[in-house]
Amino acid sequence: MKHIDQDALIDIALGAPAQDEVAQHVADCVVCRGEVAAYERTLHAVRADAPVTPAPDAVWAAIQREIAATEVITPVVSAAPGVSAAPVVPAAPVGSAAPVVPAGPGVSEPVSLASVRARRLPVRWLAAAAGFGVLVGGAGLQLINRVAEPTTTSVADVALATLDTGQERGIARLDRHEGQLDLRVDVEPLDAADGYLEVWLINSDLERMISLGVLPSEASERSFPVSADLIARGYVIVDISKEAFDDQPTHSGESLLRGRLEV
Amino acid sequence: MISDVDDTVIEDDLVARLRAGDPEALAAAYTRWSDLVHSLALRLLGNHHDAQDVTQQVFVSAWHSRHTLREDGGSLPGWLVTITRRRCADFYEGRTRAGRAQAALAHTASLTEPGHSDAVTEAVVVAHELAALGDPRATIIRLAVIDGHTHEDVAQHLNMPLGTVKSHLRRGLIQLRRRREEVTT
Repeated sequence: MKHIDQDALIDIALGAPAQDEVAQHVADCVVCRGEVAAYERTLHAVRADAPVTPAPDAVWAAIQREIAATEVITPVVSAAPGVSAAPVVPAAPVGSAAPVVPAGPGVSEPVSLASVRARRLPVRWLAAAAGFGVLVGGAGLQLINRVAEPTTTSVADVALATLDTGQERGIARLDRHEGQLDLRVDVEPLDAADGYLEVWLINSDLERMISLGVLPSEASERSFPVSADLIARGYVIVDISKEAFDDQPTHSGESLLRGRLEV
Repeated sequence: MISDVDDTVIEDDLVARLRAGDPEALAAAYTRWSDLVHSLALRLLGNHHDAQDVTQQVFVSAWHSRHTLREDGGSLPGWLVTITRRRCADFYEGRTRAGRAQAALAHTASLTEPGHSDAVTEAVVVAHELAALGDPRATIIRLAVIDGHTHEDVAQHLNMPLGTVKSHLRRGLIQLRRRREEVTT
């Protein structure tokens, strides 16, 4: 006799009486008996009637934050020449402010790349960016071709200007040098008051940003290694902010200068 | 209501996009499966706070290890359930090590019985899939299987032909069985 069809096997699992020859086949046939058992096991699970409890909305927000915080670390660190052994700080658990100790004025070493991490933009800052008229758009795919050139080249440059008056106070230049991209920032003396200056790359989506490091107040010029991947992902807005020594790793919201690289 | 075939096509598309690193695919997977992950974690861990932590860990971990998806030929929900169970097990160990397990001891003891965790997992997976079947199929299965009504009663209650009720019941059980087996085999 042929195997019993699926519908009849389900009916048997559901407890419906079967014809004698069907019941006999199932009793004798390991395949059909296995099928009935599989449906009986499924029915048993249905009868358990387990509660389904949706996760609160906050969980998804936390997932996005955690992923955003880890996504951009890898390309930045891998782009840094000569510091491949630099420890990568794991993603901070959501809800805990990761202590990033900034190098202040008078500290000669630049802030460790290990402190480079993604930030969510404060709402206040987003409003400022909107007022500045930054256009949201894709950028950077042409860069792939440019970075393939063998010689040191200037990939892009932009004047850095104050947000309120548009006064040009410096320049940011993206150079390709020996296979690496460097962001060179050259600015007039800026007043950090009793805080310090921090250089950021802001994504053109205005949602994400990373810290490149500290700009010592006595230095007018400094280079920061960046990766082509980072630029291609749209981190093209150069921003210099005034930060306080407050153990807050996020952007203070006080941008002194800004400019968008056209790559 | 999503048909079996559509569901498979959607899931294949989701897997391809997730593996390619599309954040929208993660959002879609979260929409479709977060209730399952959270409900399972809640049953296995016994408290809301830990269940939310694990749910977060599962999807972050899924994102970072998305390239391993389907390497074993498994399904997306099966993969998520495996990660969930592993994370819950890690959570137990952490709690025990931290000496904070007193309140959870009774709960833990029942879950460490052989087979119990499997039964819990199957029950949650099937309950979640039952809800996803949509109506009238989900209601028909509830009335017939959980509440124990005869097929005739269900047909009369829902004002449907008996054949339609039986057809929904069979198709629904086939789909529930498929999901159950994805997470247990």
